[in-house]
Amino acid sequence: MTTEMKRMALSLFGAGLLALAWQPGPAAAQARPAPSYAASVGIADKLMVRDSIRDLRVETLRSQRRNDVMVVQAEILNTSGLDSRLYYRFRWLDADGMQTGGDEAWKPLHFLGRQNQLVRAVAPGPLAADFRIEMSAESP
Amino acid sequence: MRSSQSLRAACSAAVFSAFLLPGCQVMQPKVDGATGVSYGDAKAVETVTNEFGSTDLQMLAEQMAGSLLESPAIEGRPTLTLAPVRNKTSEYIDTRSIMEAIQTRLVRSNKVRFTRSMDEMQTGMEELQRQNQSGLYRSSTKARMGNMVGAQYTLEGEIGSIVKQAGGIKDVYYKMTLKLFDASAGTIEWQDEKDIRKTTRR
Repeated sequence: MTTEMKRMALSLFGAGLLALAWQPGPAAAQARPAPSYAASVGIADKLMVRDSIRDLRVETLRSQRRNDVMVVQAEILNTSGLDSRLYYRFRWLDADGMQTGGDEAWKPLHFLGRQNQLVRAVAPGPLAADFRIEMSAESP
Repeated sequence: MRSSQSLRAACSAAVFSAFLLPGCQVMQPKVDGATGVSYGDAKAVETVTNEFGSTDLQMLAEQMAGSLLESPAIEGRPTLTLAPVRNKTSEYIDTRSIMEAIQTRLVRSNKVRFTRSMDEMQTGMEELQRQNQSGLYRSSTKARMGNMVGAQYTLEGEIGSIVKQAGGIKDVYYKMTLKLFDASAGTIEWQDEKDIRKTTRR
């Protein structure tokens, strides 16, 4: 097995673990329905939403390690026919849950009606093992 | 008896005032001259004008550093140096500040090492000369001449813009391109570009 293949296998394993980690147990899913801004409870646990993000909803979250840094991709859908604006930023946490890399800048993102957009971010370094996405409909 | 009562009353008043007075003098951890100055979030989205601003700088730095960090081009913690970034826009942009922000993120990641850039070289040479030629330093503690590490890669690029104005609309499009050159071979080992569009309607 080449180094590249090993790295790819590790990345897929890591991504699989993370995906599994976001699947809530059946009892938990019944007890706690997913909020309107997330497609599942597991995804909602990764989001920090300030008040509401109107008709926007995070459909999927994917994560991989590339070159030993975490790369995260979120798919966000505007469920409304009207244009919308989102402000977001990622927060990176180390294995102990401590923030790593400092605060990122808030980023504006414009959505056309019913538009689906992919948001992508790379962790500030190899220490980042987890993340949260901070989201707001209002300008921070 | 009376003197005992008055002593007790005096003590009570002293204790009461000791607790009350600091409560009346509310101390604030700021000095406010009623000038309307306030501190805000340095990472907030800034849309005061559509000229190049702090949000543009921060977004470019984050995205460029992120793109480089996930690239296999920097495997093995290579040495990099910064080259000047050409400003081809019609406005003044502190390109050095963008590159410093990218450098900060890369250094903090611990995935690369940076050597002194051309701008920082003079200070380094002066320090070496001071230590080696002034005769003031113990020889065992002197930083030796000829020990600098040459950078394997140079990080260089440019920023350009297209500005269009019609009626009450002003549209500004910025594009930053960054390249990682192998200093020895002259080949491009990584390259990325990020663009930003800002539109103002009056």
